[in-house]
Amino acid sequence: MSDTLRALADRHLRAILLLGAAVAVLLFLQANSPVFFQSRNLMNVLVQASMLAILALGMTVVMVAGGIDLSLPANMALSAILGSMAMIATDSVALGCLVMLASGAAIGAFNGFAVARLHMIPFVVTLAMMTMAGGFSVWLTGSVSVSAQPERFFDIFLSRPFGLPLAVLIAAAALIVVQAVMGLTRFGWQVYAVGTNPRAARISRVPVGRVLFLTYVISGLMAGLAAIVVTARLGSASANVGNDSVILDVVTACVIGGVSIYGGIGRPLGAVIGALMVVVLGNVFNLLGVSFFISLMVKGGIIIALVALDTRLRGA
Amino acid sequence: MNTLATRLRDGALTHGFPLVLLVMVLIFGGLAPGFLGLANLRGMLHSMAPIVIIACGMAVVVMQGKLDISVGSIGFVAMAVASLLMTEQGWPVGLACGAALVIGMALGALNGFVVVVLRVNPLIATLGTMIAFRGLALQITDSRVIVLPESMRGFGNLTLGPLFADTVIALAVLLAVHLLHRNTGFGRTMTAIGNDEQVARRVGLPVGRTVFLSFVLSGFLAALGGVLSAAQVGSVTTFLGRGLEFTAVAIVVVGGISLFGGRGSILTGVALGALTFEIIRSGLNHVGANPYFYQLIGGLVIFIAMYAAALRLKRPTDGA
Amino acid sequence: MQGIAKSFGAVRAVSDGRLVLAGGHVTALLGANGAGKSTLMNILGGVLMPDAGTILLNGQAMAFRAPGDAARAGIAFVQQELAVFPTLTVAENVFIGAFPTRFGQIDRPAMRAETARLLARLGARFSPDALAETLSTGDRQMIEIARAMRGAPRIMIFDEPTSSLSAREKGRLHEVVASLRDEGVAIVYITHFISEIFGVCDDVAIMRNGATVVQAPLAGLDQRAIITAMLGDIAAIERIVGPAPDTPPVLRVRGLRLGHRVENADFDLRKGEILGIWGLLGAGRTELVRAILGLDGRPGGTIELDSGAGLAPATSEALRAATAFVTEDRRGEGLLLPFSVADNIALPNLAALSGALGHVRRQALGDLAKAMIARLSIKVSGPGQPVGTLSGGNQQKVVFAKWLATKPLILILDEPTRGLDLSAKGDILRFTVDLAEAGVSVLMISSEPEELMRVSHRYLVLRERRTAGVLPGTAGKDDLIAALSGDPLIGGAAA
Repeated sequence: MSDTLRALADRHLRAILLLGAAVAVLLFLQANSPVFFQSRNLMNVLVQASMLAILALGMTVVMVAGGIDLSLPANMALSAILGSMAMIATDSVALGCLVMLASGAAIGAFNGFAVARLHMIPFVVTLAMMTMAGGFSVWLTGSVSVSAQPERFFDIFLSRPFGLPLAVLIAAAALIVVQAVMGLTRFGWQVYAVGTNPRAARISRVPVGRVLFLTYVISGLMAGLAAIVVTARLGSASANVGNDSVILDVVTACVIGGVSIYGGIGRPLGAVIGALMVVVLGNVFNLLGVSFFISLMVKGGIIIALVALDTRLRGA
Repeated sequence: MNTLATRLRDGALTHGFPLVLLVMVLIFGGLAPGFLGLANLRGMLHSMAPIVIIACGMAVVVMQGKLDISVGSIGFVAMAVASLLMTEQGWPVGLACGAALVIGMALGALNGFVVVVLRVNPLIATLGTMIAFRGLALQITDSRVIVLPESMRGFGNLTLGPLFADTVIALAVLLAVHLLHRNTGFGRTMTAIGNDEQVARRVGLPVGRTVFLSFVLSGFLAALGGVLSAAQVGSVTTFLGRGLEFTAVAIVVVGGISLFGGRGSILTGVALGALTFEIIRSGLNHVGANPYFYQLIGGLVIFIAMYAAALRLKRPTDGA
Repeated sequence: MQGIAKSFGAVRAVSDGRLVLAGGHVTALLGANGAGKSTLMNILGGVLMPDAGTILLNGQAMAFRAPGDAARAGIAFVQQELAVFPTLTVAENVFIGAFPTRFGQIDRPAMRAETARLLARLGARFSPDALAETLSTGDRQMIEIARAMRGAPRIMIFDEPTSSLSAREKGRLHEVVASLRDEGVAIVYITHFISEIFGVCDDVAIMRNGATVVQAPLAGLDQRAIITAMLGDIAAIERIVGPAPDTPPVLRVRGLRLGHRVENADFDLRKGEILGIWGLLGAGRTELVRAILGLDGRPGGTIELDSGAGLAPATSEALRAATAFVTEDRRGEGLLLPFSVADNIALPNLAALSGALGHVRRQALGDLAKAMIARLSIKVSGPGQPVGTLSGGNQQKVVFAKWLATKPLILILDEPTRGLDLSAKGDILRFTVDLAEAGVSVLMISSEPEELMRVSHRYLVLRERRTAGVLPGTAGKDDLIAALSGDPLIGGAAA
């Protein structure tokens, strides 16, 4: 019993450490590059973080249930391409967006089916899906970006209602919805239960298979949503959007945000904050002239350190 | 309950895979002359040599129920350092390659440390080291292309009789790892850990040490694969090792080595798996298909192999 | 072994463990669940270190700090859970961790020969090159025994060796034990099948509540005397239930069978009664209730349930939906430890607590939690306290609360008071009685006879996987013990 209490204290310690680190980074920026805090730059940071935040939200849902979804960026890329093609063919922005969302959810459903019904290992299933989706994307586009989307698409999604870029608002809305689902609904309860102890959850009449399936559908849906945002920002849809480094950033964001890869712990808000930190860190490294490569090493180190801490807390 | 359906299914699961391979070979051979030629066979064995070696390392780790997805990055770092030693520091080629192997072992040891001592989940641990090592390699090479000395390139295309030198090396490694797995206490302990790590500990087997050493071995083989891969191309580019880890996992899965550990034969598993993907790649090449098709088919093959493996496990075990 | 004591935290597993072993003798070690047998043997085997007491081997004092020490001293422990690796061969399993080598590689011919020799001594007829996973449980046990024999031990401990064996395999095991004894090995035979020890063992040591109460030659003892020693003096129990209700049955089981888990079960469970399942360890109590719920596969026979409209045949799903099953494993299966008390109570009841949009009505959840906490007197600082920080008794109350809220027809309790302190035990028992009075029908399994005697309206006697009749709740302890030791079903001295 006292172990659990100590774990609670440790977790707060971890939050405090992260907060301290964040404050230190910000102070450092203030001293060395106050230009960071100019509204234009801050806006840029937020927009950059939007795509990552949406993906991290999807990954959080899956991770809390104890799984992992490596196919998110590849899903996003493929959905972006399919949606763009639909948009160009029918000149309907609405249809394009719908296709992106539907494609994301469908890929998620496929993953979910393999994990929940066929009892396959999430890592390998989503790895295979990542390969397939990536291959399909490159094949469809012949490695060329799809950039003939109707102007209206960009007009809408690059607008700034209330002075904030639409992308940021979309991400904020996604955060609110996912947080509501995870924190307020029966489904959310069940996700946390399954991630904590699937055996006990099953005995307590939680439909474990269905819950797992739905978590992958949700993450797929988030990938579709991210597809919309990223296509607007980049001005085109290409297979490269789902390249390797994106998945690393998503995992880093979740891990920093306090989502445990062992399941049962993590809040959507944490993942979004994690995403922000990843982007800010990237910017800081940029400003400091630190090479991209060193930043990779630091990210790798962070992931290991945080998960090692998590492992220790769990007494695993 | 020995209905015809059950028997067919069992037969398909056991023998289906080589059959499918055979069918693929026939199809490609039929569509493109030259695919079935000896020259192509030689070429295939040549180009798959590095990945066979890396997959052997992966198989060793997977046999214990763990994963190492940093192998591609390890290969990159090891070769990056070696290439600089060769070109800028004037080291003899052989010595530099030797250094690469040592670096591979050191990086593998780091992985082993994180997994065994810090007890981090191997997937996440090697995900972290994968990123970090890649960053290290890119930093060292400054993202340039480093052209390797002529002797290195020569070695990469050296032939020994009918086969390429690196094919021979790959075969030797395959045999050595297989023998290690089957005929040494270390190898048998690996399998025991894969069967049930807790029971292995209960019996008093040196679990921590075995897992640690297998990561070191995986790092060593990753470095060796990286060296051969760079030798074939003649230079070190930022693409070295990219995605190799996933291909290695795919080979292991398709080759029938269970990701849960303890099951599968390294010799036939890695050979079959590597051959599968190489046949697909070369076949698509010969047929003039869109090279991007490869990834799609590759992913599909992994799915099918996993599904078959899952079905096999669901069959009720006899006895007990 | 003398004066052995061992505690785990506040739990006194062994308070006075004594055992005398002689070469060429087979000593049975008996005791109810929690009597301390496993702990005592783990100490002998070097898995645990005693807090007090001495171990003398041939007159010399020994201290085992690790299993390796005991093994080197010539003590081999064949555990209940087989440590056999399925994808290794028999020979590899026998020699795992100690392979004979030649030039760094395993010396297979030598290993095979030695394994064959060991197997021959055991009368095992499978090949050393067979894969362990192709062998039956009995054969796998032979592998483990062969491994134990590898070091020519002087003492061999068998922990519940026959739990999963067929009758034929049991016979073979007994032959092996006899032949080992004839070679001069001292054998400890731990079992809960009392009828088995006659004909296999020379003397018997009985433990109760952490102490060895008797060690005596088997000749001159009968089952009844042994059971009495195992259960001890059952004090006159103050019953806390009223008279047995004479209500129509809510559950009727006829001819229930499930493989080797349940041979045959016939009984009725009346509405509002507490039916105590009375049987020794190994009689198949947990297997019976799990079979009723279809948790281990579809059973043969008929099960009828009265969900309000009279008795009708019921499917496993229907039974599970109408039954609350409080399992033995409170922490692993009964609760989500990091979750709060309120969330645990809510988990199977989420459907009832959710609104139209799928959102959980927090107010309702909070009210439910508070109501349950009050009703069961659960000591918590608040409904939000993580369940992992509660005492065992309070944790169990949370499990009860959770199932209660589902308003079950039937409540199955499997060792509901294990590990709880006295007052918590009392609470749980009283609570069970209240439930029965409110109309819930209860099936209860407990290894503590006193407990069952306090609350059972009737007893369902279970012997060797068969129901063997029903006793009234007012039956005295003599009748109860007689019921357990009546006509043994396999060999042994008559009562």
